[in-house]
Order: sequence, then C-alpha cells, then structure tokens
Amino acid sequence: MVIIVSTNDEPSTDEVLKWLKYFNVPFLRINETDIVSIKEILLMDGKVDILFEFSETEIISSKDITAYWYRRGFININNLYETLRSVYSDAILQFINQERFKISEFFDYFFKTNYKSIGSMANADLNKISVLFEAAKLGLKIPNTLISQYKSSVYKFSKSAQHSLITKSISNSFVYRNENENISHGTDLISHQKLERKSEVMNVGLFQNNIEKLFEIRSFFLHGKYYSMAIFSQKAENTKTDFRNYNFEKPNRTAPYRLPQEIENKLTELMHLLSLNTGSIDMIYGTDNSYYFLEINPVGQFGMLSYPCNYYLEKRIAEYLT
Amino acid sequence: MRGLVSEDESQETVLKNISSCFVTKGYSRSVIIDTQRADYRIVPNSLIGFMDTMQFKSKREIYGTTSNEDESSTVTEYLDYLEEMEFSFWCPKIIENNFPDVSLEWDSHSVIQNAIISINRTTDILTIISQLERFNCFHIQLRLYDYLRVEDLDILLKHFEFSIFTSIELHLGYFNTAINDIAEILAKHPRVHVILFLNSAEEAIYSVNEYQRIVFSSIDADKSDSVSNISIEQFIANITFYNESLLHNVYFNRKLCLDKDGYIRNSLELPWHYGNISDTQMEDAVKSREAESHFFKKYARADIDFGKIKPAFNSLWDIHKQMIDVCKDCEFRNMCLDARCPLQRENGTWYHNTECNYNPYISKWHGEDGYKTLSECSVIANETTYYRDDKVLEEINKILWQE
Repeated sequence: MVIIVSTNDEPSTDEVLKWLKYFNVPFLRINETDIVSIKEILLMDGKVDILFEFSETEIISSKDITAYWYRRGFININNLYETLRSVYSDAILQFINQERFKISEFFDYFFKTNYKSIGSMANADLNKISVLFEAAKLGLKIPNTLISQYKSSVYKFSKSAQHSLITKSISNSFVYRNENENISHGTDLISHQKLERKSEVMNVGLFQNNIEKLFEIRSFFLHGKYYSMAIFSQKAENTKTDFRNYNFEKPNRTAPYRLPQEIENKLTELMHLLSLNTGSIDMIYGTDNSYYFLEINPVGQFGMLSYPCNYYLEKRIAEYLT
Repeated sequence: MRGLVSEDESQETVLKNISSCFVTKGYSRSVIIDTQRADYRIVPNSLIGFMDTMQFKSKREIYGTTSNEDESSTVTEYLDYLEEMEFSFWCPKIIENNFPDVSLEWDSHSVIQNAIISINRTTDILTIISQLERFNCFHIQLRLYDYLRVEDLDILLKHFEFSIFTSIELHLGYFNTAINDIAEILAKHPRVHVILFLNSAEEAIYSVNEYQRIVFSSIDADKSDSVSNISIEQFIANITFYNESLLHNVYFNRKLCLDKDGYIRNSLELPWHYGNISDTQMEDAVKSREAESHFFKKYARADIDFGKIKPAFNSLWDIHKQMIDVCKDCEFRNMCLDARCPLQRENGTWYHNTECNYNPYISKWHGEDGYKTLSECSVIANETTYYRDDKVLEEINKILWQE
C-alpha cells in the first residue's frame, strides 16, 4: 500500500491517484482533515512496528506499506483534548499539540527511511536565504540579494544594481483579502518613489537585483531527473516580474526546456545537500546568457508544467511509487 | 521588434519554432495547432516549408536566401506573422538546442475514457456506475428517455454524489419546465456540466456559470439513439487530443455506449454489440476479442450476421486518421472527431464509404461556393481503389483560389 499525505482539494494528488488505481496499486490518501489514531508504535527487539487507525474505519500496519509520498499537509493525530478546551488551560493544550506533532514527524521520518519515497514533511518548508546561500556556494549564479531594515542600506544596494530592484517575501508568499483591502506579497518591483515614502527604519525585507530575463525556467525535480519548462513571461506587462500574476487572456508562451548538464549537476548537489528528492526549482535565463537560481519549492505545483510540456509527471510519480 | 525575445545585436539569435505548436500538413494547406491556447490557425503549406527550412537560421541568413524584393517582402510577412502568433521566437544561438520537441507520448489512466449511457426507469444505475468506475471512467453522458420531471433528475443525480465521475452530461427529451428549476439542479450537482434538451422548438444555450450550461436543441431524440456525436463541439485543439490522434481513432478509442435496449457497444453508430447489460459485465464486453481478423474487409462487402461474427471491442481504436485515405490528406485530421466507421480494402488499406462534409483537396466545405465532391475533382476512394490526379486538382485549385 502506498501512503500519500496531502491536503483536501489538491488536484495533482487526485491525478496521481488515478494512475495508481489504473496500475492496480492499493493506496491510502491521508488528508489533514482525516483523523489518525495510534494503535501502537512498538519498538521492540530492534524492530519497529506501527499500527494506526485511519478515519475510525481502517487499521493500517506498517507491514502493508510499500511506498510513501509526502505531497503537502501533515498527519493529524487524534486529539481527545480538543473537546475539553474549556476544561484545560491553553498551555496544556499547546503541550498536547506538540506531542501530537512529534508523532506526525516520526511517521514522516519512518515512512521515508523505510520505504521508497517522494518528498518529506521535514524539509517541505525551506529557508529561502539559506538555500540562496548554499546555491551560491555551489557555484550557481544568484541575483545579488540584500536583507535589510534600513532604507539607506537599500539605497546603497540599489546603486550597485544594474537595473531596478525587486522585493520578495522571505517566507511563503502572502495574500490577505478583506472587504477593503487586497494585500499580497509575492515578487514586486521596487520603485524609488515607493522607497522614498518609507521611513529610515522599516520592516525587514528581502531585495534583489532585478535580473533582465529572456525567459523564466520552472524545473520539476524527481529522483535525479529534471523536467524543465521555459516561460516567456517577459512580454506581458503583468507577468514581467512574477509569472504567477497570471495572464489569463493570452497565457504566456511556454516550451519544454533542457537545462545544461553543468547546471543540472550543481542543482543535484544542492538538492542532495538539502535532502530533497523532489521539488520545483525556479530559475531565470538572463539577457546576459546566464542561468540565475531563484528558489526551490519542495511542495510546489507541477500541473502547470506537466500538461503543456506533455511530461506526464503525475504518471511518473505513480510509476515511481509502484 | 515584437518577438517574444528581442534581438540584441551583441548576440546572434536564430529562428526557433515553439514546439508546443503542432503542425498538421494537409494536401493543399496546413494547420498550426496552438495547444497552449486551445486554438488553431489555417496557414499555407509554403509557411510550413519556411518554418522547417529557416529554423536555426539567423535573420541575416534568412534574408540571404531571397533574391528579389518580392521574396524578401514575403519573408518579412512570414516572420511578422510567426512572431505575432508566437509560433516562433528569436533564440540565442548558444541555447538553440536546449528546446527539445514536445514528446508525442499519449496515455490515459482510464480503460474507458467516456461512456454514453442510455437509461430508463428500469435501469440499475448503481450497477452501471460501479462497473464504469472499475474502468476509471470519469466522463459520462446520460441519455434519459423517460425522465420528465425535475424531481426525477435530482433523484438520479444523487446516485452520482459519491461516484468518481468528474463530468456528467444529461440528454433528455424536451419537457416544459422553468429554466430556474433546471438551474437549481445544476447548482445542486456541480459535476453536471451540460443539460441538453432534445426535440426542442427553439435552439438556445444558457450559461449558468463558467462550467455549466443548459442547451435546447431541435435534434430529434428518437434519431439520436443511433448517433453518438450529438455535439456542439467543432475541432478540438489540445495536446492530449493531438497525441491521441496520432495513435488512435479518437472517436472510437476507449469509448463505451449502452443503447436504450441495454446493449453494450463501442459506439452507437456501429450495428454490432457485445451483449446486454442484463447478463453481461461491461468488463467482459470490453475484453471481447473474437477471432475475426478480416472483419472490416468483409463488412465492406457483404451482409454479416453480427450474431455470428463481430470484431474485437477495441478493433477500431488504433485505426487512426493517418491510415485512412482522404483523411490522411486533411489538415484537420488531428483535431477532428469523426463518427464514420473506417472500412478496409483487400490490400489492407483503409477508406470511408461516405464522404466527409469537407473536401481537403480543394479546401472547401459542403455548401460553400465552389465546393465539389471528391469524384468531381478526380479523387476516387472506394472499396477497390484510391486514385487522384494531381494535375486535375492543380487546375481546379487554380480556378478556385486564384483570380
């Protein structure tokens, strides 16, 4: 049985499961909203045995598991204290949650070390700055980057930049909507006027040299293989800085792309260093004919690359798990 | 420069075609299928020749091939068009080999991809659902013969609530009801994307939302029982369809139909069946591989007792358009859903015994000014022969297309 940890409404997971069913491979999808109860995690005589109950219906034994795919989310361990919220203090409930989370962590660890696996909860959320730092150390070009709270530092940095500056979130990109406001933080251009309005000390921000690009590259990495796509986002004004500002009327032209071997080798070293066997890598091909590494999203979307390039990534994932 | 990538004088760029735009070359013109934008453009064959020979050449080299002003203005016209449509771009020479072709792989996780199921009140819908689910079938068209009340539809559709189907199309005879009641059914059952009323006095389409439509059509519901392709769709321009069409007859491939008497068929147009749902499992019907290897040769010639011989369920699935005379010369062959049954000559070649509405040798549709049938323009495609006279066609096209 293949164990898949995912979230509700995750279309790529749905597609992979269709292939698993077609291949007649039994699977169990565990979403965040499903409840898992621990019958036993037994460490005895140098062996580990796990028995857990899924959704109060099925008993799963670690002996029946053959493969593991961590897509997103986490395993939600049955929380009996949830109903006793009024009785217990927040501190106690918090402690209980920590205990539950450690079990989820162990599941992830046990599955990925004992079975063939894709992805892991442990490194689903990378630190962008650390990754940039490691990429640069391995000889991948990255845009010059500044993290600062001081306007004067940003000014100084902007003078060293050939073109304009962009700013992007340090953690995951952010969208906030209410009736009056629509605030988002993905990747945005920074203008001098915008900067001038700020006071000298600001919230911390990440600034990068805005690389003049010929196209963007999105590459899906799966156990040593790269499936890459060039995205000609330069042309449309609304996707110039970030192709996720999707141009619905006339989607950006895309085409399958093959990264040069030396770039793939460096990326593989980086993935290895970060203990990643899968992930979506963002890069830029600059007008200076250089490849710029931007970031890795270990749980990034790949449907937008699978279909237009005819890569059948969902089938490849299912085949790996089979 | 309007191209995707502007040409910088400091680095040499060459013309590179976008590989996700597929070319289907026809006898007298071609089609470029823009799979990414679900669109297509009809273009002269000379443009396709230009794209083939000029790919990987620089602008300087391309204009170097011209010997007079006329030729160079044609080159400018072609380049402008290719850039405007984003079929090609100027690629830095050092990465000209980093854009591989889109693979022509095609596969499906569905044993049966789409099912047309005729039902009446006695049909055991739950059995049908469970049998189709074993095929990983996600698209179903339901033809309802005696469902004439909105409440009945609701009861029927409730059976699908926990099914795997992602798209449901309902066809039913016209009955007088308020459009709001039908819209309410659609709101309750988001998997239903079309409700089509046949026998309707008016022709109309109401879009309830982005995904759901109510359609009134004057098509006769009785006649529709033997026709599978009651459809508003024209050509289908996408990557999956294109690749499937290179390997398969997309109309018949992985399709299963249940007629109104419960007989299991590959398509409703084909006169043979694989048993009745009352005593035959769909799975067994689809596996049916009766030993009749020359069926489509015999079928072309004689009356056949289908009780005694019939082809395997999937026998038409691989008879793709590139194998069939006339179709193989048509520029629309990789976008077309054609319900006609291909027939086979003694020598193994394939043809159709009814003529298509489109004549690809003169690029004219039936009813259009200047339309001629195949035989009227020297093309013969019958049970013994395929023949055409290119000289005659050249003359006809000259008259039709040149002032």
